[in-house]
Amino acid sequence: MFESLEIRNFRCFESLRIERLERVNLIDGMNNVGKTSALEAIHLFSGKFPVYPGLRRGGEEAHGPLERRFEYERTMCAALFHDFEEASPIEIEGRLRDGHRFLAALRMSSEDGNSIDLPGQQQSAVSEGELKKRTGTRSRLEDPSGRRISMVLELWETTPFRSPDAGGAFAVSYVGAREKPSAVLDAERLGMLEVVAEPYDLLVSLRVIDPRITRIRTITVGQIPVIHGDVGLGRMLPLTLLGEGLQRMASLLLAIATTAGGIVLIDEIENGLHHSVLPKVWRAIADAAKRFDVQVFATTHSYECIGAAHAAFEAQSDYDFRLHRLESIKGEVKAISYDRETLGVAMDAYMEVR
Amino acid sequence: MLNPVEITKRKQLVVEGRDAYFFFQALLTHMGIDDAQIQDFGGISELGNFLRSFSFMPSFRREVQSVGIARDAESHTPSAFQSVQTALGKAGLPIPKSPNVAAQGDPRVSVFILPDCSRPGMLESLCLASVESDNAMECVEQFCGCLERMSGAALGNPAKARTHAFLASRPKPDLLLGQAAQAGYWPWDSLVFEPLKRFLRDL
Repeated sequence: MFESLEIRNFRCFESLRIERLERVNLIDGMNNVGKTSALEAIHLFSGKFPVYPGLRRGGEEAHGPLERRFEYERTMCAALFHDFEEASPIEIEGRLRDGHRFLAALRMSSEDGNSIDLPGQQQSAVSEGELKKRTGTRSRLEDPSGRRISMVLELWETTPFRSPDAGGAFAVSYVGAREKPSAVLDAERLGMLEVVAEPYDLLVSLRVIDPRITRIRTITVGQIPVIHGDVGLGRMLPLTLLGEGLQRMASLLLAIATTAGGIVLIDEIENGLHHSVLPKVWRAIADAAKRFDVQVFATTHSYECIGAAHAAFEAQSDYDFRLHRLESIKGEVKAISYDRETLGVAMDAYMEVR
Repeated sequence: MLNPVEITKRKQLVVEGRDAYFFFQALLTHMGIDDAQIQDFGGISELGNFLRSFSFMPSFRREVQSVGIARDAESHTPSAFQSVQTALGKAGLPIPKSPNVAAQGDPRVSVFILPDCSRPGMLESLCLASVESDNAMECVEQFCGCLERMSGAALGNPAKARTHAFLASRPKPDLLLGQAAQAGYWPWDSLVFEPLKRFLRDL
């Protein structure tokens, strides 16, 4: 698990350091301070490319002639860089408690060259504890006139390597804020658990949202696998028809259960969930994250959500939760982390005020 | 525990109790300082939780550029200052190394230990020092001395007892320390208030 992260030259972050990370991390802050951008940066550790526009909600692709789409994509790629500073790479560095480091670097590369090494670094002759490149991936878009956008995503790690896969990437799952969960993806994830006979009981957690639900099954409808639930209406219905809360809960937990040893990113975690169920939702997330050894990064706008998370983890044997607030201070975004005691006092004060 | 009130000004003065609140309100008005907001943290045992709650307010880091904390020394100034340092540390705020010397950071933090950052005592001690030459104080000393002789024991809190006795001699005899400040019963031009005024000007 990461103990700290540092994001450099990405979107609104010139340099953002988030420290004292725990297994479950909740990021709050004012609108447009960069909460979702922080999740996007962490997603770079997946090594998957392109990062944008696939993650952004409303990340609509431009339609129309390729020339216009090229300009759109060009602008979207340039906007990834802080102050549009394309000459410097975007970097996110994650550090484990023992100092072992991982680095994901995203850059605009030269049109015809290979990926460029970080200054001062060589591919070979790297001492133990120094960063060494694991993989590099290039993505190009070219328009009929020959103009090109070329982006390179590289993953680096200090030696000796410890990352989960041979390429240095982490398993990363993303659950967005507003887009409808993918019924197919959820069904696939449930199937992945069933294939390995994983005894994780999703149903117990779904009953937090709707106590009527007695069973769930994946049923193929029109060649599309969809998770159905039985709430005592005489027939099973797709979770999509049983309410946003149920579907949201299933998506969250299935993402965690199928990203073992990796990272799950959840934007606006409270969406679709009534405030009264949030404490139980957080307990389910805490249990699943621990069971599957997942590090969770979630964002929120809601004080109820923060209070519910704090209360849920207070009831656990390990309080492995931290709130990180992003604040714009003198034009620079900084992360301020709040410990258990501070949250306890603040939440008591907040509830009195309410 | 008292909760912090909504932040409206970039300078925050955190004080101990309602008397101190009204006292500092009157002093700031006298000094023409209108860009500082006063927060009452209640009793000294609540300072730590108050600062945690205060620093957690969404507008705190964005809006507040300076925090000044004033508390009584009680019997030992260094211990009183150390307790404030501990409370600041737990709230994740900058920690000054000495009283009345600001710790730079976001926000800047300074601490004043009443009465004067060096002697034991409290806000009452400071106010009494400002009226030392008032004719009523001779009567106050005689009165308190008489009480101690009659009871055979020292007064429970000599500074508070003397303060109440002094205020009993004023035109409105039933005011508390803070109310007395609002009524103009403490001579603001007294030199004993200079260190405190400097602290407030430097906020």
